[in-house]
Amino acid sequence: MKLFSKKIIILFISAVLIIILHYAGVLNIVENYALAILKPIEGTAFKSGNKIREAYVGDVDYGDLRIANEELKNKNNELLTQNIQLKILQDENEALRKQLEFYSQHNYSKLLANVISREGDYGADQIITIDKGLDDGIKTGQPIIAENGIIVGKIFLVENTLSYAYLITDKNCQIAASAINKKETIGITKGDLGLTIQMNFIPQTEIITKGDIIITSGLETAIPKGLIIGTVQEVKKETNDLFQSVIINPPLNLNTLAIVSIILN
Amino acid sequence: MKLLLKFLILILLVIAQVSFIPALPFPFFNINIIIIGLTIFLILNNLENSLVLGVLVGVFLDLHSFHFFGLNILSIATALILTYLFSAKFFTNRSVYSFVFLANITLFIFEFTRFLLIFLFIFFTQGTFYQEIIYTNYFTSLIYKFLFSIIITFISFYSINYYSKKMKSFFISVKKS
Repeated sequence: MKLFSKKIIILFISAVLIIILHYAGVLNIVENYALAILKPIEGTAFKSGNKIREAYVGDVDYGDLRIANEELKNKNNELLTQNIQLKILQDENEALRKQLEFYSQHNYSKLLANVISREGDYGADQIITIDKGLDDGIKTGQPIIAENGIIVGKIFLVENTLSYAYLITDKNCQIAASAINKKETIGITKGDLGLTIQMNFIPQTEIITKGDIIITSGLETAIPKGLIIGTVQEVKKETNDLFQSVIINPPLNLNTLAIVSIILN
Repeated sequence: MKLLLKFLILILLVIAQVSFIPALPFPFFNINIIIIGLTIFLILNNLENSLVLGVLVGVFLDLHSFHFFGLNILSIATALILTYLFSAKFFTNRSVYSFVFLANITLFIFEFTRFLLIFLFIFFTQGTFYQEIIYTNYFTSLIYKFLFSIIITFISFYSINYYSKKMKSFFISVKKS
């Protein structure tokens, strides 16, 4: 077969045309419809993958898992499928209940969203894709919340029906933070190797100790004060340096996020 | 009907790659099922059909990517064309080794093209060479990608051989007169 046959040239022109039409916005409606159809399936696929990760990494209660396993053994394939569906719904319910508890105490306008994908790519360690976008009122810089007011990320790119957010453990995610101590020490947090968070630019004169809770400072317009970032795990203080820094441990496992919320104002 | 079936398989592969695999634990989230699937399709079919499928997959991947639109379309198309050249010129026998090698060549070209395009995009939009564009575990992740590619293509080769004759090796025998 010739490499540059007529069909391949037509295909090449079609591919270029698709790219041009995308940037011209002509394909917006088709793309939005395709994404709207795929989103629920992707949400379910992501939650199923998360279940496997939880079982593999050992985030679940093994006692419960054993009982559940005994029960599952006695069920046929149909019941097994139903059981997985129920487990996913139960987890969703639990996550939603915690979110509701948080929002009932604060007067924030919120939006619930499903995580549909996760990406580690060039220049970034941890990025999540959520199923809400511009059409739902999402803007860049808005915080991603999990459970009882724990900030887990920040939106950096918004499309019509999808948004992308850096997790707080990603090195591109910077958040204005403060410590709950006598002087309410302020600094900037930044993800560290996709595992922990580092809080930098803390003056040497500030006293910050292991176990102090770090919260958002409210100095960013889109992020309110008081969202939990984590607890201080280690203090890095060099006498020659102008500033000291601390390592913060995030309070929950960011790898198993499935339902999150976004504070809109 | 056959076309519809192929399209459904394609959608399932994209969903698996975009949503299911990234949620799996380490190191399984490094599996690139799309590239392996497309290489198998290229070996079993022809370049034209593989490119049609590749472009469609690329469109779906680009819709889910925060990078510029067209990145996956171009990377996949380049990988398929170059792999085709390799398969036509060098790896002509249908052995498991050439099968595995071709899958890894496709993966390598795909990753390389993607990296190069992102690098150029950053250079032309931000005018800098200095932005850190390789994330912390990039090379570890790349090694796992190749490892999984080898394992999956091995399994695929023997599975295809079991059910079909398309991958059976053939030898030209010379009869003694």
